[in-house]
Amino acid sequence: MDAQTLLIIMHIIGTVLGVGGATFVEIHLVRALRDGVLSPEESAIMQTTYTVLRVGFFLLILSGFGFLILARLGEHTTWFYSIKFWMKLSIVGIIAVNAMFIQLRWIPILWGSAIALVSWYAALVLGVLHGVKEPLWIPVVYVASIFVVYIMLRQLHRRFTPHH
Amino acid sequence: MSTILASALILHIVLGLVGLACIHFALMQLIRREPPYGFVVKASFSAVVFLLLSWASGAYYYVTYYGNAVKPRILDSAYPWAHQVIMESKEHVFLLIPFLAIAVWLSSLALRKNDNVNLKTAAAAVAAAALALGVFVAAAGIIVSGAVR
Repeated sequence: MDAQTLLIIMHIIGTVLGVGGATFVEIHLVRALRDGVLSPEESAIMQTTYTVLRVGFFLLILSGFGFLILARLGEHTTWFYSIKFWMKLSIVGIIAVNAMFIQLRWIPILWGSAIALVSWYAALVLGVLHGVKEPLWIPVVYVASIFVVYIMLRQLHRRFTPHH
Repeated sequence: MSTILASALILHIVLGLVGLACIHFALMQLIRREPPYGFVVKASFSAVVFLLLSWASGAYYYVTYYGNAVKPRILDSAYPWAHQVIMESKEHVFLLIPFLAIAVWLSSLALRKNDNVNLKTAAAAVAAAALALGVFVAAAGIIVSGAVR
């Protein structure tokens, strides 16, 4: 197996764990808060899901830089200046900063959740989107999606979480 | 590029990346209400080691190869600013990061003995600065590499 194939496998596993982890964080959160409290067992499940998500993020970064190294050594670096590539890098940066803001409680949990969920799916979509000549509509769709997902999550939590 | 130089370049990038991951782990623990300082000490010390090793492998590549073989190509390309602005900034900012990591490590050693809210906040701020500068250096590396055509 050559380095390129190994990196592709690593990148796919990272994306699967990240997108899956981000999805399950939301599912667990809604389920866990149905009775209004987070039990130790529910908290442990959440922590496990966060660990899966972090492993996915780490694999994604590591394999991503692996692609960059291969491209640099092979001198195929034209795509380093592509707007789509920098959008993907920015989204990865947003995922990391958002995780920090959630931990610091500098951002409301529902906004943080919406940003995390949309960013992970956006990274996935950007990874498979090829031949986009004018990618400037992507940030518009990305920001709009965050608002839509925020409203959906708010409705979900209102429906399933008891209010005191 | 010879195998040794390619290895030095790969090590420079991977070790720097792992060093940044370690400082990120330290930061994520430092911003908790009750950080596990034993973990923060190990993570920040690992960051120092990996960043210094990245320095060493990067130094070999830059001293023996970049200046003679890569820099002239970038200056002759359509993106001379990639060296004149980005690389010049990168090579100076890069010097700061291990020292910031050392400050986080020493602070976490002190915090393990005596918890102090102000020192914890300062250590987290220094770790965040190291991480932000590290991300800048990584992005700068991509921009410089992209100009080699």
